[in-house]
Amino acid sequence: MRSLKRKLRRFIAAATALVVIPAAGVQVSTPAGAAEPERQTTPAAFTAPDAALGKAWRKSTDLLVTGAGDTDGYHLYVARESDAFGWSTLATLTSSSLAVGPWTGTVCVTGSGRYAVAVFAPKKAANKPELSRAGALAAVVEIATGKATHVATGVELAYFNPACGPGDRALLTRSVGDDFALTTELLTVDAAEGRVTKTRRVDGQLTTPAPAPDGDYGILGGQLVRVEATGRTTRLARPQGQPFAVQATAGSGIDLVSVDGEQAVAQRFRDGRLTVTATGPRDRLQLFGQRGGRNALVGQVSMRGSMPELSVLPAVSQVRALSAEGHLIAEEVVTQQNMRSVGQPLSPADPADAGDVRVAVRATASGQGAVHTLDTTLAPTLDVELGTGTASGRAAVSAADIGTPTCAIPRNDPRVQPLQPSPDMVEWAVDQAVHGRLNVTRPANYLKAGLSAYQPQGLFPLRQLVGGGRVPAQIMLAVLAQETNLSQASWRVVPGDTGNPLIASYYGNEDNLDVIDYSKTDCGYGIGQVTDGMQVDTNLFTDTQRRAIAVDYAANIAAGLNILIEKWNQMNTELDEHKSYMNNNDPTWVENWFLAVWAYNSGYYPYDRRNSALQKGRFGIGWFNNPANPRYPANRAPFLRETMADAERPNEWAYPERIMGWVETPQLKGFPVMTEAYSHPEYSSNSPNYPPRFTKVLSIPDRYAFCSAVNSCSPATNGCPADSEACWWHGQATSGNCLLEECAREKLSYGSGAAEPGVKRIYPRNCETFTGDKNGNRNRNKRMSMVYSLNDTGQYNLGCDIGATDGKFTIRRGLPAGGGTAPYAEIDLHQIGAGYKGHIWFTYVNSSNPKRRIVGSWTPNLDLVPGERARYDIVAHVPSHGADYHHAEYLITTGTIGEQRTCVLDLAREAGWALPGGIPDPNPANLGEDKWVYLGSYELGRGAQVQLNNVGTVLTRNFDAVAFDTIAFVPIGSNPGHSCGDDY
Amino acid sequence: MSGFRAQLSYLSILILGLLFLLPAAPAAAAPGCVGAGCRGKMAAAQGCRDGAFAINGFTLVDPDVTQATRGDLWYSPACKAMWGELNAPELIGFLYAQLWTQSEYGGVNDLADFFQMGNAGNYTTPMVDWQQSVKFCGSHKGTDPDMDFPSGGFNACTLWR
Repeated sequence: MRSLKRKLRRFIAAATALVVIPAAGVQVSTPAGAAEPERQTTPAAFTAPDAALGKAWRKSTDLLVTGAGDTDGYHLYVARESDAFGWSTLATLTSSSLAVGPWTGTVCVTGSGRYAVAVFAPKKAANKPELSRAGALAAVVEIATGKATHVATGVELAYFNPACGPGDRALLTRSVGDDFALTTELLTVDAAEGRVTKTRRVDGQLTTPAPAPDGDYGILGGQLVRVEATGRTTRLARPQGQPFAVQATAGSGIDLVSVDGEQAVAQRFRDGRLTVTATGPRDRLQLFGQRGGRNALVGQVSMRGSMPELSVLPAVSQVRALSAEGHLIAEEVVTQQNMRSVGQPLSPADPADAGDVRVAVRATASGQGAVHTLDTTLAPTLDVELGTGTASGRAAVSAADIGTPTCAIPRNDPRVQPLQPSPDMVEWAVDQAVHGRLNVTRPANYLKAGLSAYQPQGLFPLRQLVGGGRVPAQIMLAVLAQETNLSQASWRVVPGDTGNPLIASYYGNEDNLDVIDYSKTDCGYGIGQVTDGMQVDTNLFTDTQRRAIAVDYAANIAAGLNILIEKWNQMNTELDEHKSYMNNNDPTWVENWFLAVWAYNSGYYPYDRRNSALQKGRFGIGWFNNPANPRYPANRAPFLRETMADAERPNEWAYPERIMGWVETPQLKGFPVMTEAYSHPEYSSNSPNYPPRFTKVLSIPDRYAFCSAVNSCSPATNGCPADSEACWWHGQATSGNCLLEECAREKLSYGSGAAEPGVKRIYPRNCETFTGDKNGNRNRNKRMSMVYSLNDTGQYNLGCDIGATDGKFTIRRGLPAGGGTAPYAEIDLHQIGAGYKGHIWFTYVNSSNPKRRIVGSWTPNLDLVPGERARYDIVAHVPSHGADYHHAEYLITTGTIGEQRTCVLDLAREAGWALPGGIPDPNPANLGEDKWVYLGSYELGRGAQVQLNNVGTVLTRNFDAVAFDTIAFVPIGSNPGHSCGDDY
Repeated sequence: MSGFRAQLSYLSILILGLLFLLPAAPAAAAPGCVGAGCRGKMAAAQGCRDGAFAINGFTLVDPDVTQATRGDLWYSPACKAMWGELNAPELIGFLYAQLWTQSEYGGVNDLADFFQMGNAGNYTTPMVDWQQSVKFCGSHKGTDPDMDFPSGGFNACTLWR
């Protein structure tokens, strides 16, 4: 159902499923190659190319490759000058082995201009330090054909990875270790061969690597180093400032650009020393490699004379990419929906935008600009099959060896179906919770979870902040936005529906659908990703509390808020001389929470444990999220301040920087009108002004605000040189004087006594009851049998009236069913509150993997006596969403004896999502509709049943979901029956 | 004729009267268990055989016998329970009967009953809840949860029901 994902992408701008990809040190699984595409004819980017590009454009070999991610994968796009820079999709890189939301990535082009090297990962990897360090995939794409080859698994998700050079050799990094010690694996990729040829281990944190004709270079400990064949490094020179770009030329040395204060400094390393080549504003000077080993400085460049193999191109803002010969600049690459959200926040989100990307370009010859919207639907796809052994080299294990789930509240349990709240509900709950008044009474058996009546902050009383005060609502809202996109239920569940809870790494499988490792589960539940106490072997919470955390977004917020408070308290219970805090440490001010949210993501190392073997005498807050860490580009602007497109590359900002960004720029949610999901904070009179947006902004800490003698980190050393616990920081940092009105405070939308807002549904609740006699051919002398998707219809929790099921519905998993593959097949099985009366199961089509096999069976209790056979119309309910496979083949067994028949439905077409031929319905207003469809009329005896499985082959990309909804068996006596596919 | 008609009338009234005086035919007895409550109990003892029917079956291949072994999976609508029966008119060596279940929305096979037959005859398993997936198998080689794999008919199962 990737099309459900696709259609609902606007609701999941950031993925909510936590994502883990194979860890470091893992060998590549069998490379998968994408089919060679036909060269697409693309509309020119410039309507008058002679004027824009010069008359030689037809014979030019220049091209530009860039990328953007969405829920389908990471897409590469190419624009060739000989096509007047018309855009086409080069490839889509993804892994259907991973159950994830949107993807992100980076791409570079080798010096020959023949290959693109891409690193791609689920966007949510940016939320997990271990995944950012070694959780991405890498591929080489042949630009002429689009042929893509998977070359590496478990590489770093960072702005400098991959790195291309003058030849066809590229470098990848894999960061090995944690806050206690860090080494870097440097992978050499032969792009022409499409494989990794060498892996070296470098002691320390190597960033911005650069392959050069005479070896490999990079930045280590703030210095330019050469990486020898053994992995040993030789220090060469110390750049002026913190480098964020290093690029080798073919024969003239190494260029790099660093941030030094408010200035960007370009230098060239040649003959053993660095020479300044140019300067510019901190955020307006960039370096790009070009074909043949030439480099280009782009931006507001003040050159210090000319340099061989180094050209200059003017630009007024930061750019995303430069063409191989410098004829075209890509100024911005942003998904269409994201772009509309920024520019037209009150306009309807357009489903037709899904999969489209807006690229703003400028021709360097003329300065002419153009904007083009790319449609990615025709892209060839590299689908990396991760297999079972990639995560840690483990072999497939039998069901008995897998063990039992370690997360306390199960998935796919009909008694655990949280409601997906709409954003206003979340803001209401946070506004109430931070003030300790989230005391709405949940009635007994709320959402059919079997709990007694409770109040969220009765179950989870608000903890007090050490020193008093409270958490600003916007801080908690920003954390929820970053963590889960404000979602309590799985990202497959839209507001107003119920469904499985959002659970991080329930299977410990790093989201690999073919792996289960219960020793590695995360068990983060719901909107606040409450983890502690949610494992089966912990007793932090009662079972009632655990279930409430899983089912009720309000209870989850109450519990999650206490975790954030705990981080604040952890630092504030230190003795004054060991305390870490921001500004005046008054929790009233948003800016003062920078450290607490930092600790929320990557932990805090207390003073009283400093002498443990782990901490080696150190304490404070770790290095990973330190803004001075060179894994974040030194020339970055504050997150989301200049463009919402920043949300597509979250890995380029430290976690606390992202939280502050979400405070300044609330997430956009809603359908059909997208609006800001929560209020801006209340800025003070002296909060910084930001004229481009006609608003004030937060006082964001300087990049070096958390550098001092305690971590040997300073601008003079270009960061922390040690890459270990020696880089931990503690102390007091300043970003603004809150007493002088330079900080922001919370702003509530829902005051005391405000009632919980009603949920704003995407799909209206449909409680219409099926009677079976719409066409007048029902035989009323016999009982009609309805077989629901839940045998205990008391578990339907959308509130529709519903009777008892008249039969049974069963699911069998794996092949052979119930055997060793059965546990795996549950991973990609889902329940959501769609379909008849509000419940379906759904899964995705797979042609042959026994670990994905799902079979559903509807067995009615027909109103028949022994030996009797009677004619029935069998009618299947097709849900408005959650099912879109074009060839759902229902198998009808007519009794204990008798024939078997089949009926094939195009689920997308029946629900109105597709036109004949499997073409997606372009109507933006179309969300699909519930529908009853005949499977045909049959003479049935006792023992009859209907079955449906997920075996098949997808013809239209993303139309691959098979749903198990209600089926009705309508006795028709001698009346005329209906045929397969007839509308009810 | 009229007298004869009168006699018939009297006879009819007499018969009807007698019919009213006779005790009513016994209604089907309420079953002794329903659904999960039947697990481990025998169908006959619980009155679950009334109205029950074999919902699926198999025949075991065995070149050493002239009358093949037959296996059936039985379903009782009244008890909402299922069980297996293995009928081996002839037997050389051993036969094994297995009743497998899976939880209603899927899971790993659970061996609800296993029996080794050393002599010809019938074997009936205890009952299991109908609301889950149920399968009955016969085998020449003992317990095999992968009975779906081809064995040339020497081992056979019903469909999952």
